[in-house]
Amino acid sequence: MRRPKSLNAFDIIASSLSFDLSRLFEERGERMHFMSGALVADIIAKLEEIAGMVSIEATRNGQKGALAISSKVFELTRELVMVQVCKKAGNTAEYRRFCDNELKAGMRGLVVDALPPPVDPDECIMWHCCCLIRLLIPCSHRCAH
Amino acid sequence: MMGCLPTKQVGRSTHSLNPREAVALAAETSCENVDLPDFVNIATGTPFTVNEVEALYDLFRKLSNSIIKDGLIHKEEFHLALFRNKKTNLFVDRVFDLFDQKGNGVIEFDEFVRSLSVFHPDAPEEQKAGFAFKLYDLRQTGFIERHELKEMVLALLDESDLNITSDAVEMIVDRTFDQADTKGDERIDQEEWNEFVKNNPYVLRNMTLPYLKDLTMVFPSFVIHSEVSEADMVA
Repeated sequence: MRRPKSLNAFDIIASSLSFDLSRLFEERGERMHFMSGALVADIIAKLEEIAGMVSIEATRNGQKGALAISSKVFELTRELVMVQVCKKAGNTAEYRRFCDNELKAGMRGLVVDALPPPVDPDECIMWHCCCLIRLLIPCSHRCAH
Repeated sequence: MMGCLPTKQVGRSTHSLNPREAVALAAETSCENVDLPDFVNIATGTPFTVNEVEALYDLFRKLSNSIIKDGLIHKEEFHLALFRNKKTNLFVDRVFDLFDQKGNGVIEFDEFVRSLSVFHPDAPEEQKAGFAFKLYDLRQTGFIERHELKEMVLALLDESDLNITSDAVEMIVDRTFDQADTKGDERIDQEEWNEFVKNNPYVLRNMTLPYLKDLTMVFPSFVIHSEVSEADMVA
């Protein structure tokens, strides 16, 4: 695992959807967050397991092809992480189907819906970006990285 | 529905026209005078190729005619492009104002290209840092004040689905601000910002749009039919 990074206020601002000018090029910002109390290793294993189940059709008119998804796991406290999933490349409808049918269903057991318990101020000081994993849905052409 | 450019009905298929053909057809079929921008001139000094600028013009036409059909991007059209529901947003206003370099309330094509060029992966870090600083300097005082930073974080959390306590927010804002405000004068100036960004390069990641490098792939039909090639350009 990579060395952890702490998040500062400008990092949070930078992750704002409205700063994401890629929306000018796409129909909608394709990003979701959820909170989880599970171990980071379990989340990653789950994401990889889910990603591995999806297969992509061959390219036609360049509409469908490799679906690249990026997932970041941020540690908020020792008990709580924030998982960010966003589409990096590929067909948007395909990505949404993946999120609605595969990802959400698969992650259901790991997701926390309620507000987390009051946070110990000392724990809050260390926010770590644990790892950045690029999940590639297998297809005929793999992206670099 | 765009009355002045009937080629929009053709849609994005292998039969769609490039801007030159589209404009020529529009000129024939309507009495409106549609001027093609000088793509070569606009590309100069940016990391974009002429073909990429033409691809951006395709996008620009769509955005600039979405509400008010005058070939200029108004604030409502900018909001619409970024937020379908046209909700007013703190950051979108700042970005719009920065894109509107002439300050005349609309984004023209050359402003559009030049502003987007800052987000190109090959644009210099100093340019990105400068743009970000102006962005976060909400009231254009030349400084980022502590309350402005807090305001931005709160505005973001407001629109997101993250559950973070206000104590935690306070803590993060204070910690960040104290780290950046090395002179201890309760505000971050350009110099302190540049230093902060050097130590925290991750902060500028929203200042890069990776696929600006692959624009001609984003608009694939454009590559096939474009008549302008680099070889045509006069050296």
